[in-house]
Amino acid sequence: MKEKHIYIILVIVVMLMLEGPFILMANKIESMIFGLPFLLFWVLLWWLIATILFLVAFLRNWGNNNP
Amino acid sequence: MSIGVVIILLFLFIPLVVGFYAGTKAEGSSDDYFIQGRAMGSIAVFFTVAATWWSAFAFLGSNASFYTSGPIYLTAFAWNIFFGYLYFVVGKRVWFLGKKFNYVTPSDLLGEFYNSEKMRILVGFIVVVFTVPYLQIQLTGGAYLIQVASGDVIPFWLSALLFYVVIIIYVWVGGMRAVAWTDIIYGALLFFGLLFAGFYIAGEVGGARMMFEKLSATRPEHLTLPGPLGDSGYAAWISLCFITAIGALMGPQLWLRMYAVKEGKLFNLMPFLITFVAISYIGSVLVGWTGVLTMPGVENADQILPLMITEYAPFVIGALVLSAGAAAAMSTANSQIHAVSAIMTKDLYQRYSNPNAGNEKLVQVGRYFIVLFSVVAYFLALFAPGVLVAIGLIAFGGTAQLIVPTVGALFWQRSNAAGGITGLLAGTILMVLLTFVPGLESPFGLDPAMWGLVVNTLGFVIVSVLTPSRDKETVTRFAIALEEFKQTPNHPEENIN
Repeated sequence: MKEKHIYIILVIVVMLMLEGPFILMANKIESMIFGLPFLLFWVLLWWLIATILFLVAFLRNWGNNNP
Repeated sequence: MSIGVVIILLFLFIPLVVGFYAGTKAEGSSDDYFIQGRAMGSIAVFFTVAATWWSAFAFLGSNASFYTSGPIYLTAFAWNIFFGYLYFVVGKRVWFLGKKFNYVTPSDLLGEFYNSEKMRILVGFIVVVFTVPYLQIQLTGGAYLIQVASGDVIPFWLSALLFYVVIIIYVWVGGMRAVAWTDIIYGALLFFGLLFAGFYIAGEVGGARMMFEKLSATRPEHLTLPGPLGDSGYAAWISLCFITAIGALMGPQLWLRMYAVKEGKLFNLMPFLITFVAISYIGSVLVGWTGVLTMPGVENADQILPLMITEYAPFVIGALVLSAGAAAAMSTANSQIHAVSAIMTKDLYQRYSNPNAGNEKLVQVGRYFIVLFSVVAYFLALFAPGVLVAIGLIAFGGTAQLIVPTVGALFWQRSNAAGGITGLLAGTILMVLLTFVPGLESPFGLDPAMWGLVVNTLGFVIVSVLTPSRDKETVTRFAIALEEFKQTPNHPEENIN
């Protein structure tokens, strides 16, 4: 699989975790993690993953070898 | 004169200075005035995109939403991710085509790709009609914040007037460059302002961790979907995310910010930057939810941040934070006025009234439109105030419909004007009907704009397939350009036509 396709898949995974039905499973207060209600923790977790993903993608030119 | 008024006056004065300085860099061409000669650098692009899409809706509306409706606004983290990614995928291609074929407005690209005058007019109509009400929200929100920050010394009508006079002056003088440069200041101010406000206010109840504990013990319904009112569940969660991200991306002000970019590489970085700044929504979480504990029962929820900050913070800090809110409004309003004026000048005046207009004439007409739209928005704000989030969503829903023909243009050769126009009309009309006709309910609780997008897409695909293809010459021209994009995404060859 080409590197650029991996980024597309990962973005879809992140969006699914935040906007797909999975969010309903995360829709609870307990257990609190780092003092955050679970839903907030879940959102921040995937936000962090997305931030890192986009940074890596940028540094690797989104898998594109062209200048 | 109170210190609050001094802060406000400074807040209004600094952009004027920046605007005049930007004006000295102007090159006099209409491209320079409307899209900064396609030479905007990375810092300016990032801040002007972030600050432009970060409106009063985000600043006041986000706190209000956490205060009244539970965690629904957390979907904002996802819409920043989605928006940032779209800006890279769609925005970069739009930029590439814009640079190659010399586009300035959304209609330029869509009208030419679909090779249709009707398409061109429809697109121009949609962006203008759905941007002006949104502009009025900015004015209402911003002026309200100025009023509060001044300790009510400056009344609403005067705040709104000051707000617009300042914008008109610096946009008049400096065009896109002035807008982008002032947005750097506004962007930084509102990013830190919101975060700071959140942590400061949460400190009132012993810090963030303590606030969450207290809230889960006493008002747990605020911490999960569908919120205390029971109306902000999953359907609203996804509607808000997609409509906000797409609607903002397709707004004319953002569209111009795709064309204005100097280097393609910047688009590669935007997803990271836009996603990263979402962290400031934490400020809204803290403000809104602390408000539930300490200040329940505020009737107009849009006022929750101003009320809390004036109650708990020293006046200087309060005025600074409220200035940040006004900055959010101003940075969106200035871009909208500028973008709408660019569209009216290029798509209406130049195309239909005076095709041979020179650069000076175009810039001059652009300036008149800036004043005209400011005046319209000013009167709308005085006489038609409303709840920020609700109107904001309708405006986004309208511009969001443009994503269908845009994606079609970038990724689907078989798409044609009949499909594009059918889809746009069907989607927009359905959205308006579902929103405004009493008794018509939007199915499954999804936002009407989501159904608009569904019908829009269906109409677009079906009619495109059933009607003849676009003319060969246009198809080939764009196919070659987009193939070139694949080969060298960061370097379009200069104007080949």
